[in-house]
Amino acid sequence: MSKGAMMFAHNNEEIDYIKIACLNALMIQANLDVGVTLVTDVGTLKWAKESLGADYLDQCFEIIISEDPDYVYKQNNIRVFRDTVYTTKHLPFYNCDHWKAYELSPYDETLFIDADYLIMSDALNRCWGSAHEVMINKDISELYFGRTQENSTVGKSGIDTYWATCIYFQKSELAEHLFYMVKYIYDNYAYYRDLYTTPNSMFRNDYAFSIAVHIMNGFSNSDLIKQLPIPALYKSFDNDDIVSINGVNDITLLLEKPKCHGDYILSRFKGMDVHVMNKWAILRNYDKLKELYSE
Amino acid sequence: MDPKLARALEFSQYRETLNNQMQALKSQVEVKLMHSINGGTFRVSPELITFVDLLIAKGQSETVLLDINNTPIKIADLADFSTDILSRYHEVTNDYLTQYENIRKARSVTKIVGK
Repeated sequence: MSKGAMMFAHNNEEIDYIKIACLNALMIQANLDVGVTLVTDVGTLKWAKESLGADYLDQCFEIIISEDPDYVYKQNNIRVFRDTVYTTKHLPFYNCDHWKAYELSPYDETLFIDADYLIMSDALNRCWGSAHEVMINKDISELYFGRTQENSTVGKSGIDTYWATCIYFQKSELAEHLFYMVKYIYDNYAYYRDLYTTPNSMFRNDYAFSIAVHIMNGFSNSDLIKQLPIPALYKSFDNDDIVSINGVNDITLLLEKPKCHGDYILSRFKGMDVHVMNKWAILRNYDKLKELYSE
Repeated sequence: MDPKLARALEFSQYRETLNNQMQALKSQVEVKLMHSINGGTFRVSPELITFVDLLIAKGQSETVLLDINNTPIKIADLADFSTDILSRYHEVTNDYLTQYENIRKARSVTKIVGK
C-alpha cells in the first residue's frame, strides 16, 4: 500500500502559501518519513519556481499537481487575515478545491494536511494501516488552554464539527463518497449554509466536511467517521505569534490572552503538531525552519 | 502603580504562564501515550496495562481489545503487547516527571519556557 501526505497551496498577493507548504513538507519528511504531493495552481507554481527554485521544490515534493484555478472564486472570496491584533488584511482565500484531494491523491493511504498545520511529531504515523477508511477529528484544543474553544457544533444545527485541518483517507468507497459529497455541498453552498445555519456566509471546508459527514451518517450524529489517533488538533489563532524556533520540533509562541488584545503569555511546545493560523509568523521564521529541517 | 499591586500582577502573569505550560506538557504526554497496533490506537493507561496483565495471568496469549474509537482490534501476541505498552508508559511518565519538575521549580516566566 502506498502512503503519503498531501497539501494544497494557492498564493494570494500577500501570503506565500507554497513557501509554507515547502517548510511543512520538509517537516513531514523529517517526522513522518513519507513523500508529499502538492496541489497548486499555475500562477503559484510559476512564482515558486522563480522565487524558490525548481530544485528546492523537487526536494520538498515528490509530486506537484498544477491546476487552473477558478479565478472568479479566487478574486471574490475575500477573507480577513491577521498578523496578530495589530495587522488586519482582507485578501483572497482559495479553499474551494479540497474535495479534489481524493481523486488527485496518488496514494492508497493519504494524510491530507493544511499547509499551516505544522508537523512536529511522528504522531500521525499511527494512521498508516488503520482499520478505518477515513479519520477526521472532532476534538480540537487551543494552545492557550484557558481560551474559549471554537464551537463543537455547526451553527444552530447541532451537528458535530469535523475539522478539515487534517484528514486521513484510504482509497475506498466511503472516502470517495465523502469527498464527492463535499463537492456537492460546495456546488450548492448557499442552500446548505442556510439549511445548517453556518455562522457566516463564507465557504469553509470545516463546515462542508461536517455537513458531508452528517449526510453520510444518514443525517445523524454518529461515529461512522472516526477520530485521528491523536488526542486533539492543537491550534493557535492568527492573533498569536511565533517568538522563536528553539530546535527541531521545538517552538515558543506568544499566545494572546482571552479578551485582552495585545496582552500575551509565552508558551513552549515540543513534539506536538500545531496549527499556526498566523501565516506571517511562519514566514518570518522560514529561514530558521528551513535550515533545521533541511539537515 | 502601587508597587505591591505591580508585584501581584507580575506574579499573576507568572502563574498564568506556568498553568499553560503545565497544560502543554500534559498534552504532549497525551500524544506520546497513544500506541497503535493492527490498525487500532490505544491510550496507554494503568487500566490498560493492568487488564492486559490480568489476561496474561489468566493464561491468555491473544485477545480482542476495544481501541479509542471502540473498534475491536485483535492482539495476536499479548505478551509482546504488554511489554510494548509498559515500556511506553515508563518512558513517557519518566520524561513527564523530569519536565514537570523543571517547570515547577522555575520561578520566572522566562525560566518556565526554558529561556
